[in-house]
Amino acid sequence: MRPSSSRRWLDTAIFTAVTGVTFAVTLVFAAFFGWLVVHGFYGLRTIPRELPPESAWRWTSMLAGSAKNTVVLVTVAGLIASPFAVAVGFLLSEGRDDRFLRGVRACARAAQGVPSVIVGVGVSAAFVTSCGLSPMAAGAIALALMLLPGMILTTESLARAVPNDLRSAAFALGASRLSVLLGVVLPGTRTAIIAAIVSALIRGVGEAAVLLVTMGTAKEGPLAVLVYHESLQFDLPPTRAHASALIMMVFILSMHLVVLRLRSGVQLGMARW
Amino acid sequence: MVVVEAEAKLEAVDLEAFYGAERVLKRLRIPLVQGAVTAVIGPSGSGKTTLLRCLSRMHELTSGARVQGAVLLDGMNIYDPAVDASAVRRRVATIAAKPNPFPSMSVRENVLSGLTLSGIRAQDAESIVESCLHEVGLWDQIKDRLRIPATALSTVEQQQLCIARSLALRPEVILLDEPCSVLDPMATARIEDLMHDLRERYTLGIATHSMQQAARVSDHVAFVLSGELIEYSDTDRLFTRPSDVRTEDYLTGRFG
Ligand SMILES: Nc1ncnc2c1ncn2[C@@H]1O[C@H](COP(=O)(O)OP(=O)(O)OP(=O)(O)O)[C@@H](O)[C@H]1O
Ligand SMILES: [Mg+2]
Repeated sequence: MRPSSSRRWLDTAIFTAVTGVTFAVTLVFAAFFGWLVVHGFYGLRTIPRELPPESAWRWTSMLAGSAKNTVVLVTVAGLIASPFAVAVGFLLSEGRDDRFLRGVRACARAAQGVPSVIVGVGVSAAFVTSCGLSPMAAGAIALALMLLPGMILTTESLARAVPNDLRSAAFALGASRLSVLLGVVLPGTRTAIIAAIVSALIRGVGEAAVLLVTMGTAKEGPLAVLVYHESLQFDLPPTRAHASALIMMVFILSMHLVVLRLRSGVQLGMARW
Repeated sequence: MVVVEAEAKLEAVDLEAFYGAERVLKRLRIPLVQGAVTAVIGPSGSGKTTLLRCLSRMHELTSGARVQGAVLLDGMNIYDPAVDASAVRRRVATIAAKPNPFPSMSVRENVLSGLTLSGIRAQDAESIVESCLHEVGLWDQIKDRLRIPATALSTVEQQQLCIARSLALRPEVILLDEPCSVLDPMATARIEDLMHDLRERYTLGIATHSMQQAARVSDHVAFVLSGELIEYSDTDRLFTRPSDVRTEDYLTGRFG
């Protein structure tokens, strides 16, 4: 049966409308990035003129310090979280689905929903107030804890995407559970998991709340805290907020490029299953 | 009543299999005779796959699955608590219906995968690859493409590769579960010829729901219905003079 002409007309109308909306949304994003780039560069250029040379220099070095702190915090948080995430995620996908693992999975899901401010409060209470840990170390731990649940669940779902036929084939060859994991599941998922970890770290770069709580408004905070701090200076022109926001977006976009790069490799790999 | 007199390489004795509380194999007694092909036939859901998986200690990998009774490999019960399941799986190879080469590995790596997965580094890797691919009739057409991804091969070549991969472990028994179900008639003939060659050196078991295939490749046939062994006998006799009326009904297409 052929669709009636009014039906086809409706089809065309809906697709045109959806395309239009998509275009509009894309335009909003593009406009936002354009705005940020223009204002960010404007900020970077005007700060030396706006401030006395000495404070301009002080501010610039604070910006550089924040950028460095972001790198250190995110790297350390990634180094802390990813081994646990990969281990637990693989256990969830490869282990026997008993009550223990179901409990672990439920906890990870619940933890994923905990607001980052609250993670910050907990880490402050546990490490900063009682153990006197340095702000930087506490910040890294808090960030790691915040990213861990998501990393665990992503690792699990990526490992589950490996067809069971392949596990079965490996077992039929007399492989142990560990060698099935290392020889079959891991090679099929490694790149995707690395991409997922970098994606999680992108979130870490943008995270301000958890670090504000654990590190205080310490001047040695990361970029996200600087942006937050500068954007609250309502009595000043927004140049510094814009400049630091641009630097932060450069970080995020370059990490995003890494993820895209990794994912394109994964797509090729997936196509072979 | 089923009478079994042949000399068995691998033999199920009062074998029962469960998925949870459900019993899907009922006190089966089936021998796989050395140097012969034994076909397990029966309608879908009769328990052919489960039986083969029990014979190679694969059944227990399904969660909630359990086995009772014994399976004797050269007289040794493979379900004895002292027996290592991995060692049994290397002696009793299993080939799945759908070819499943490892996609992250090349052709060559797939042939050697049974060794590498068990942490064995073969010194004579090249000759193992050559002899195994030769044995499955793949060497000549593939010897210049050993480094390509295994999944780039055609379906039948992938199935041959999966058999070669098992052969690298020098198994004694090879169990094939509907190895031709995703193949066309030409490819099916290729696998059947291969089984004919292999039976001289290995004990073969094949599950199939094609009676024509069972008639072509096997020396003995076990007819299984709802997890029960209805009849076991020489292929010729089973197809020409079945002793059980249910076998006759199945062969004449009255059910299944
Ligand atoms: N993982 C499982 N969990 C529960 N029951 C199962 C499972 N696998 C198979 N069964 C049941 O066990 C019985 C035997 O199944 P099996 O796959 O062994 O039959 P089969 O003869 O191989 O069938 P087919 O010809 O369709 O491959 C069926 O009733 C099936 O429903
Ligand atoms: Mg089956």
